[in-house]
Amino acid sequence: MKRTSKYFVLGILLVMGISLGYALISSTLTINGTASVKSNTFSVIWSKVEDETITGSVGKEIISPATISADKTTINFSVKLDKPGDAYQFKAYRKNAGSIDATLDSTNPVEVIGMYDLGTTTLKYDKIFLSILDPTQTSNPNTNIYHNLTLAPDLLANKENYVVVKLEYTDDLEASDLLAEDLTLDLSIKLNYVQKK
Amino acid sequence: MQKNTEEKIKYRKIQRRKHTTFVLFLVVLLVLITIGYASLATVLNINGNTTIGKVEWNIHFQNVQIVDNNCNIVSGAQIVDAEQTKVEYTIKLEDLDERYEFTVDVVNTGTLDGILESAILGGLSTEARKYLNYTVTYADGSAITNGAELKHGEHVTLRVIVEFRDDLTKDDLPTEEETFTLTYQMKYIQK
Repeated sequence: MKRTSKYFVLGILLVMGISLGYALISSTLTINGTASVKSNTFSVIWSKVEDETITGSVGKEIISPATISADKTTINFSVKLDKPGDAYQFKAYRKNAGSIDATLDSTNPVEVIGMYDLGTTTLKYDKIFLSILDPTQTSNPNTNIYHNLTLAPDLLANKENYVVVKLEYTDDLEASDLLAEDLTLDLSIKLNYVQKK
Repeated sequence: MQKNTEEKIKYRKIQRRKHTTFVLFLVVLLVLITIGYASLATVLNINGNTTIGKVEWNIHFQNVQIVDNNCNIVSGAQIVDAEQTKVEYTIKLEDLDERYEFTVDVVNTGTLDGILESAILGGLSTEARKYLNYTVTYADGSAITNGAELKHGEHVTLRVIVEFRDDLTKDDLPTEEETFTLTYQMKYIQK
């Protein structure tokens, strides 16, 4: 029994000795870093609307002027183009109010909804022409829906410029082109901005 | 031997659990990346409500009135088509004092103002002009000129006269019976 106790005590001392020895030849490597991340904002907004005009016949009318919404991402307007030759347009200023450069999404830069019959590529009325133009770029608006915004897609931080939105009721038509009833187009134009990589 | 097999099964279970955890982690990472990317996108909208007014284009003849029918009338002047854009007549002038004269209104019942782009008188040969007068004027005798406006809701009255000239010499007269198709075409376009 005594011999057993001796071995037990000896065993414990041996284990302690090994642990101590291990601890004596160990090191702890530490890397302490401090990283600060600068605050950034991504904010592309409509900043103002200018030079809203409507020209043409007596019956033309701006029912509700182009107005920027409270969150500054939407411009709403309502107009009546009464006769062929009537035209409506305004300048819409787009501003990068954030600190991150933005660009139009290369796969889907601009969407126009409301010109076509639902689910088709047939124009509701092919005598209406809609254009969204960057005046600094070349343009050739020879189709019903036209924009040249992808020629200069970037909107860098703190920069502002404008696009011209124009709706025109062409006067190049035949008697058979005329509408028998009033037609209402609820248009939605979307400029899809993403971070510039 | 059996113990070894059980240990292998246990080891595989642990490995599978690790893989599952890793896949879940990847999914969570992807979701986070997607959310992070989406938050750096903005859609600028322009919403417009545009009403395009109904429009009617309708300029036509109306109200033919015979003023002078001192001649052999085969068929008197009348509007002959449903669109009311054609007036036809057939007459025979046999004596020098015979003439045919009528008036007809050009009315704009559409919603657009019109403008006269062209008015072309035709049907008389050079030879026939020596002895025959064929004129189309406004009712007051004034000349019809290109560019004349015809506003919607308004009308003008034309006067059509076919007669022998009154300054004839015997050499001017035709030696045989002749037939002419007299025409007058007015083209109106939107102002």
